Amino acid sequence: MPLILLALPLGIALLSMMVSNRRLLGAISIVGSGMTVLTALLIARQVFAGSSVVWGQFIVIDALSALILCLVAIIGLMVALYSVGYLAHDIRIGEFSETRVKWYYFWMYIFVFTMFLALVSANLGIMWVAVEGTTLATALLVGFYNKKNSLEAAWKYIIICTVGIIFALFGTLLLHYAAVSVTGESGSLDWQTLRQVAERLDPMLLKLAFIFALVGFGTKVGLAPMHTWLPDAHSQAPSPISAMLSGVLLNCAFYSIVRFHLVVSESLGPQFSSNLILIFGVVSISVALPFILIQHDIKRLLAYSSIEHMGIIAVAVGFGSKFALYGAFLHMINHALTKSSLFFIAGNVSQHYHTKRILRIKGLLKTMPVTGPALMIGGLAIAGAPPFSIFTSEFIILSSGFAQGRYAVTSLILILITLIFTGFIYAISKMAFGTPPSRVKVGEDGKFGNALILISLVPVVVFGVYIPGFIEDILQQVTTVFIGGNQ
Amino acid sequence: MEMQNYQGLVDFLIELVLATVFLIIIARRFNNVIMAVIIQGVLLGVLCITLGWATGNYEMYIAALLTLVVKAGIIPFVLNKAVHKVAINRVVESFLSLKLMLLFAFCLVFTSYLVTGQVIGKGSGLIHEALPAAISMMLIGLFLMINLKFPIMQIVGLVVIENGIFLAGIGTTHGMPLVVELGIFMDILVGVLIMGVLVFQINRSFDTIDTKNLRNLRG
Repeated sequence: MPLILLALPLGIALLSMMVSNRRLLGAISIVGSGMTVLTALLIARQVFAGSSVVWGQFIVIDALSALILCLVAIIGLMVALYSVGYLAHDIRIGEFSETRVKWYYFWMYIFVFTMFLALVSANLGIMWVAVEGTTLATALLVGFYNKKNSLEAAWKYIIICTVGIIFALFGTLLLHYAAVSVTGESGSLDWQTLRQVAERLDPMLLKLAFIFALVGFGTKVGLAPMHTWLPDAHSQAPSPISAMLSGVLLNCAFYSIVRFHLVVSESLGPQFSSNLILIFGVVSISVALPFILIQHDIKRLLAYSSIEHMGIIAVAVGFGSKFALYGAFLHMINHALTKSSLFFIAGNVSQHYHTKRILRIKGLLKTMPVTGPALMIGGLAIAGAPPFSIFTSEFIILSSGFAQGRYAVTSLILILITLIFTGFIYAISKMAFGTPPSRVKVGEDGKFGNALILISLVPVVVFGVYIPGFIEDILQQVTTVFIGGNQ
Repeated sequence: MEMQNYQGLVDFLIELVLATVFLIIIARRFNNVIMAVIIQGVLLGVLCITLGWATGNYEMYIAALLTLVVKAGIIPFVLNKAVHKVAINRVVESFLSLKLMLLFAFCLVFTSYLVTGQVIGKGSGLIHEALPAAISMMLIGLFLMINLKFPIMQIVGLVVIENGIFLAGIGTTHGMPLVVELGIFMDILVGVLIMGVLVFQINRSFDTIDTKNLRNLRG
């Protein structure tokens, strides 16, 4: 089963290379993504029924990987659906020629493949290879428009992320060095083995390894101060790709940090690595604040909000109590769903207004009867207004912080989140209200994309008032991964 | 283990590898930079073979072969092609003067020898020389990336950093498991290729390749 999961995106990527008809490519991608979602859900069902999926020496899927795996697959399907209309529009206005569409799909599915590989691999070395692979797969997608700004973003993205992640490789190497005398050559990077033998590893080396891994993978997560590539890449990439970068890639990178965290905290106790993650989280939220307040570009606004939310997840993992972890992964689900639909919305808006500048987008509620209200809902949700899902998870995280007696940190975060809330709502309302410029025609561009946006907003609204039993159960199982439940 | 008999040779090779990094620093023309990258790759390959011979670990020979093909073959080839396509005067420009760069690089080497001894313990790993030399290479690679103006030099900096990590790997633990090592080689190879493509595209849209033009996106 895990092999099918890996083979599907790879197969779609190779198939896309051979086809040049745009409609056929879209169909292949949608059908393929649908099958990927089914496979992922089947795997998840097996995992959450209580037994982790293992294949040979190299693949282990536990509750944590299964959760993110499903997120990748589901958002992958939404992106596949949205891409069809988005690409059609861009080709119609002559942004790029139809012959390049197959490269778009090729790199997109290579991207999905590398994310799956990172999530299922039992070996931290292969996980590193896969995470670096995500950078390579997306670099040309970020520069897909071939304009000056997008090429600049792509160059920054590939250089900063590769340098950053090369530190994670050094961290992996140090971990290997610490472990190889205990476990032998074969098990030295296997995270299950490592957790069992963690007490016998050299603590000094483990500390170093974790710091390097945190900085390295933290670059990919977009933790400040290594976040500088993120706003550029997210704003310059085609919107469906931005949705994927923000919605799932950041989570995959965060997953890698968590794997290191789990090994290291087994040996050094939870304090060392949790505190480091917590500090990076707080710094990220604070760095995002000024940029959100003065932002002039709708997609950069969303990108900085991603930095903020990854910071919040990091803070919650740093708190480390069962309650906080529950909140962290609920937040991960909520953020992934809300942010990807917001990037779809931003895609619609920027295609309709032919600009990404917030000042030039006015009167969305009047011009776009579906996208406008959707932007209001999504914007309120991502800013953390009740009764939407993000409010719930932020509330859980903050209250668990207070419950642990970390009053100073938690209050600081509370203040930062509140300020970000005001900045975000201000920007959103500037776009939603007002009189639209006369050059903009009233009406939506495509019905299909709009239906998709509305569908993706459903869980955002529902999870705010009611968290279904199966999600509850999944999150409980994910938190037990942290306690050492090596089922 | 017969390692002791080869210790001198291995240490010597590692110092030669470190010396090639200085060759890159002092090179003023791209051809020489690429030549230094090739020499570095070949030396790393020879080092692998020596270690394989000394320890009887057959994986070392595979690593040696890959190093020679990828790091002394394909990567310099791609770099060379990129230079010939886009560079006009083919002279390396840097922000600091040569003397300052050398001084800085020496300080980095000194620091890494000092720090590695204190943090990880003197004489750790199979080869005592490997870890400090590797860390020097990583630091100097980073330094090259920020100090040299041409995007191709940033790729060279990355290659130097990666070579440093590879050296640390083979020097301390015979390298990572073979699958991982293969994956890393593939990543580096594909990475350099994609960066090469991007350099072409940047050159085409900006009519120049100077990184000071890449300053539009802010805030």
